[in-house]
Amino acid sequence: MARYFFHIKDGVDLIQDPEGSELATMEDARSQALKSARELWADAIKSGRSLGADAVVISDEHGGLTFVPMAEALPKRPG
Amino acid sequence: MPLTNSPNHFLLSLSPQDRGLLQPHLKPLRLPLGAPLFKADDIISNVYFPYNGIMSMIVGVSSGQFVEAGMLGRNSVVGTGAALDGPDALNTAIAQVESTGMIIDAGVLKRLASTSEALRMALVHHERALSAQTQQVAACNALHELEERLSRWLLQSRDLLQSDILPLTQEFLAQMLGVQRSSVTLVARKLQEAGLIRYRRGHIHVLEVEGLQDACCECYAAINLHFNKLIGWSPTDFQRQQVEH
Repeated sequence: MARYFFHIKDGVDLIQDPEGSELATMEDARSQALKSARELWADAIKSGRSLGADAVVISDEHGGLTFVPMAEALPKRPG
Repeated sequence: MPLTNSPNHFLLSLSPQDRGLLQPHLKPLRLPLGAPLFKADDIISNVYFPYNGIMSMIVGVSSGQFVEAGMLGRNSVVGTGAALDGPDALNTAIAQVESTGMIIDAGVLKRLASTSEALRMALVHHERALSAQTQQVAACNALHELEERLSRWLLQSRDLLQSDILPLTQEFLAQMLGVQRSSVTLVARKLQEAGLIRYRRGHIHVLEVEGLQDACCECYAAINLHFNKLIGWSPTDFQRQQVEH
C-alpha cells in the first residue's frame, strides 16, 4: 500500500489534498481519480455551475505527478 | 456523576422516579473512534446514552459503500428500538468521534419500560426523533447539493460536540456523505475561502456559524425543530474557544 494524494488543478490554482488515500497501485489511484472526476462533472452539470477543475493531479509519496484531465472522465461516444 | 447532572439529555429529562429505576443498571462505556455499538442485523445487547462524542447511524450496501442516515450524541439514545420492540439492529451505529457515556442492558430497559409508561413514552419520543432525522437526511441526500449537505453535517456535529473544533478527516466526511473525497476537497476549499471554516489535516475549525447556516439547506433547522418538538432538545450555545485566524 502507498499513499496517493488527489489534488485538483483549476486553471493556475492547485487545490491541495491534505490527507491522501492508501491504495495498492498507481492503477488504483488512476481509477480513483477518474471516479472523482466523473463525480465533479456530475455535480457541475446538475447544479449548472462551472466545473471548477481541469484535471485531477495524483501525487505519490515520492513527489511523482500524474495528470488526469477532466475530459478523460467523460463518457465515450459509441462507435 | 449524579443523573440530575447528566450530560445526556434523555437521562436528564426523566422524572426522579424513572431516573431511579435506571440508575442501578447503568454502566460506563467508552467507544473509541470508529468503534461500533452494534452492526446491522446484530442483536442489540445494550442501549447507549452518550455523554459526548458522535454516534453515526450508517447504512451499507453490498458494494461495501455506506452512507450516514443520522447522527446522535448527548441529545439522545442509541439502540432505543431494542427496548421498545425487538433486539435486531436495523442499521450500524459507530462512533464517528470518540464517545463516552452510559449503557444499560436492552432487556433490562425493556422490562423497566413496561413498568413505567412515562419511561416508555420517553423512549418512543426519542425513537421518533431519530426517525424524523433519518427521513430528513434521506430527502437531503437525494435533493441537496454537497455544499449544503456538508454545512448541515458540520453544524450538527458542532452542536453535539459543543466545540468549534471538529476532529474529522475529509475521508471520513466523504464516506458519511456518500461522495468522493475530491468532491469534499473542492467544497471544503470553497467554505474555507468564504472564511466559514478552516481545514487542517484531521481537524475542521468552524469559524463563522452564521455563514455556515446560510450555506446550509433547511434540513439543519428542520431536524432541530423535530428534536425540539419531540424530545425538547435544542442545541445550546457554548463557550466558544478562541481560534486564531
